[in-house]
Amino acid sequence: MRFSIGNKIFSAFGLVFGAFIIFGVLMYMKAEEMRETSIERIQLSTLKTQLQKMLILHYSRLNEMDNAIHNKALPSFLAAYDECPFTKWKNTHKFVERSMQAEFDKLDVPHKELHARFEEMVSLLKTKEFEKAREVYQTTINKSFKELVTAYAPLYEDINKEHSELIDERDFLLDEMKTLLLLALVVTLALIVIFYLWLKRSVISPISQITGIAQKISTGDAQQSIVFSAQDEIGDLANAFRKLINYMSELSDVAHKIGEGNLNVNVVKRSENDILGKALDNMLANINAIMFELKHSVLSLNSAASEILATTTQVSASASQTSSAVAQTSSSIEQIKQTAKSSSAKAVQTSESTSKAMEIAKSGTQGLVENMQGLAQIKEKMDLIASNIILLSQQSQQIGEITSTVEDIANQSNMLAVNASIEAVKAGEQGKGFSVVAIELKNLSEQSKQGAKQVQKILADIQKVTGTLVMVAEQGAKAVESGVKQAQNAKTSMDQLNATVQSAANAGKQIAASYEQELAGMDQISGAMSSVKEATMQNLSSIKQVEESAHDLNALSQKLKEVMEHYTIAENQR
Amino acid sequence: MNNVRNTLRQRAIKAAKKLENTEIIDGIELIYFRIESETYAIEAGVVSEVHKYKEPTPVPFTPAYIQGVFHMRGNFVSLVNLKIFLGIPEQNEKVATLCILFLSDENMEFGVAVDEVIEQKRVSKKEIQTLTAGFDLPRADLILGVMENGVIVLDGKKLLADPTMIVHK
Repeated sequence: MRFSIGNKIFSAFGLVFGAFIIFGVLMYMKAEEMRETSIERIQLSTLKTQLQKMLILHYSRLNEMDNAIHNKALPSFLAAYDECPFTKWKNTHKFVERSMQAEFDKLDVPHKELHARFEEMVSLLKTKEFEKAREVYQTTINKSFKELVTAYAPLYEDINKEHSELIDERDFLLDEMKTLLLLALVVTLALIVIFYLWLKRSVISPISQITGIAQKISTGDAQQSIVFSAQDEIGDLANAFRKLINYMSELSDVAHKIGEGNLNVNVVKRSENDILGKALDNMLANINAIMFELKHSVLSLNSAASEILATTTQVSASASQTSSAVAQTSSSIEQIKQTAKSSSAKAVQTSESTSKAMEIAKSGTQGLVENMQGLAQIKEKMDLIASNIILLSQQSQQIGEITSTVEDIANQSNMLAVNASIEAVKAGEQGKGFSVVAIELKNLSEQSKQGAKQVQKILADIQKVTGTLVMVAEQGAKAVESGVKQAQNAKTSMDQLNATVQSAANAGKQIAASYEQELAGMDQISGAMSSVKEATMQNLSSIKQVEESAHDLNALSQKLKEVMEHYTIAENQR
Repeated sequence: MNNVRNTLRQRAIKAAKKLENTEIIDGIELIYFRIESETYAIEAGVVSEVHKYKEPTPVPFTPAYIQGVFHMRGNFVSLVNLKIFLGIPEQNEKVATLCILFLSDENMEFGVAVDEVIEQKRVSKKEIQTLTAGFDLPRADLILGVMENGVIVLDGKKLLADPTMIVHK
């Protein structure tokens, strides 16, 4: 059941108030009692006073009576019973208690008696019988007064007794009220103490515990656990703090993972207004995006660095090669210079030689023309041979056709022989002779077949030979033809040679002049080459530096890549 | 010339010999023929004629072994491909079919295409050994037997009487 702090406090105050009410009611009742007793007491006092007043009044009348007798005058008061103030009071007064009424009624008889004596005395005095009055006074009035006093005494005693009883009762009630007050004080105090302890246990100590945890959380220490549980606001507060701790530890876990480089984590937002979760999620997304970009960049940087390194290495090697090539070129140029000098001398010689060559070429051309004429004659002969051989081949093919006709006839006669033998069998005994003839016919056909086959074989040999002959003749014809062609080629070549030699002679002269110019140019090249060499050396050293830098860059990018591999990027960013 | 003389001499010697065939008393006249590389024989009694091969006219809706029909002295005679009919497996080298063997009795007449007709010979019946069971040719019942030199002797009468030869019924 849910019992909230408000309910607790309300119930505590209610209990105290209830106790207060109970004690108040009790006190009120006691006070009421006391009021009643005091009223009674006042009544009693009044009665007592009236009684004493009555006694004193009657005693003073008595004395007046005595004085009147003595002075022989009439008393100044009315002696009638109905005129007596006491009687008037008694008739108008209402007694609270009936018993008291009865007690007072007892006084009536002696009171009446006394007033009767007073009237008797007054009548005697009026008639001036003073002696008789003195006598009556001395005998009856004193006696009546004494009777009244005796009737008064127990009543007075009763009233006193009653009065003292009332006082006792008042004292008792006062004592009771004192006790009640003390009890109320004690009970209230006890209730207050109990409620204080109870509230302390169920409200204050949990709050102080939560306060302590909240203090620790505020310093950043979220590794707290709240052990108690309750069904009130404190329990809610504890649950809220548990959720807070849980939330904080979850977020700190996420942050810890991010810190370790695992970016593939999921931030669960608690609500729409989860600013920390949103911020963390946003941060994570941003970091992821940055990391993704960074990772790609590092990868491309890495490959770029490798490429740069490779390129610089190549460039370095090329520069070395260039350097050595330049050195070689330099020395080569020197050699060329030397060569050019000797070439210049040789060019003059060549010029002379070419004019001799021209003469030799002319005689060669004439020899070639003669050669060509001889080859044309050979070609004509070869053509004649070839046509004869082809004729031979055709004829041998005709012979082959004839032999196949012979073979065909042999086959048919064989068949005829079989038919004949079949007929002979059909003819039976008479056909036996015919059968012999048939067999003979068959043998004949067999032989002619074989003869034809031999002819065919010989023909095949002839055809083979003629085939080779045809080929040989064709080859011969081709050889002659190519000979003629070559001779023609040789002639054109010789003509060209003549022209070439002529131009060579001219060129030789020009070359000799060119060499002079070349020599001058070579000197300039040599000078230029030495400055190229210097520049190449500088280039080489610079490239070495660049290569070192590229090495550093590559190492750096590798390190960067290793660092980046430490991070795990979320799935959706990949 | 010398070769021709030699041949003539050999022929004379052969002609001078006595006829061996007549000495076989319990004999049978056989016609030897060749289909591809295999030599077969058939009784001469059922062979009516040997003819040079000519292409027959193919007839639709006939079994594969009926190559066709051709006109023969006023009659239409069907030409049987014995290779297909007997189920002899095809060989790679095609040899030109040269002859037709006409088989006939009083009821039936048809031609058989063969590669070559070799000869007619009389042999003793003892020479023909009947086939043992389990011979792998599909129509072994049409084979009379096998001779020692491996020649398969066909039963001409059974071949003529075979119901599968009558196509249009």
